[in-house]
Amino acid sequence: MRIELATITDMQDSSKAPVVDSTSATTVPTAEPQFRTPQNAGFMQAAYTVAAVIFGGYLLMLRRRWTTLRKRQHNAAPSRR
Amino acid sequence: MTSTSASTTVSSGTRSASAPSGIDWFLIAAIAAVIGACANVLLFTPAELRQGLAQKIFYLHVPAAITGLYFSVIPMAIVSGIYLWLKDERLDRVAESLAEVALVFVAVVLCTGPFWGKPIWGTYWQWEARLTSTLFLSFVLIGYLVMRGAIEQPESRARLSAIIGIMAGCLVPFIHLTVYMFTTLHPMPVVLTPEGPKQNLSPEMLRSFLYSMAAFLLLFLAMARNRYRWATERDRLQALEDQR
Repeated sequence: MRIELATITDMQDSSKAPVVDSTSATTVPTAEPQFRTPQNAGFMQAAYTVAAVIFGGYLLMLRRRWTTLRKRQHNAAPSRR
Repeated sequence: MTSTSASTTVSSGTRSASAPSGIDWFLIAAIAAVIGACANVLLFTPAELRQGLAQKIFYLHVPAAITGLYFSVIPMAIVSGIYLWLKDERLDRVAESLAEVALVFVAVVLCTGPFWGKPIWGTYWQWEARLTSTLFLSFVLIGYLVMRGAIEQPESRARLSAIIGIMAGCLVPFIHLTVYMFTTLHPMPVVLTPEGPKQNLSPEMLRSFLYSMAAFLLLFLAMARNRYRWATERDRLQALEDQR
């Protein structure tokens, strides 16, 4: 059930987490990451891309504002003298 | 200081030499730190056992949320409150800058959350308390900025903005407590818990998280500083044009 994962707050490192060997009933470290859900790489890439677009867009907007302000300052400068 | 005397302070500083240089090195350093933090997460941080690679959104979503809510909106509310007391227009500019940067971080939180929610919850969005209240906060911040653009009289604009800023700040503790007060899909805090993040994260994950947190905090400070400097220059120029 997917919803029960939402209650999980402890995050386990897949390279370190031990698994229980059912034949010998002993706990052994995992050799390979075993994901219950698929790799989900697409979701991760989408999230990072969206964040880059938002931050990048805002930084470009800031830059554009500075350029406009510089032009206004430049236009205002000769008439001050 | 009254706003009249403050505007005199702004208009008296007309030296263009006082204007910041074209390149903001602090901002460039902050961007480099964030790129480094993302590379560290994507290339070197181990994937989580049960959630797979989608859990790596955690290193983006949570620092953006903590920075946007606790380091942007709450200081904006505090600065807005102090503005109502001192009527110093520099405080109004600080609040304005913090609100805009907060909106950027909240937008990142709202846009990255669904990409984590879909593989883990099975849905991009749920109208539950944590998500809805965060969306509502973003609407308040948008309203704050739209209202600032609509009011021309500086003192009225600053006073009304301060009131809305305080209201936005009041939402943050509520957003934090929603997971305790309501039955929500959103998980309980992993980092901001009485036991601390060590309880819930492996050392490698904690290290990556702290690096991301520091990088996002740096980016926030650089953006807010740059935005504040722009607002100061804008007001200085406006004061000059009004004098003519």
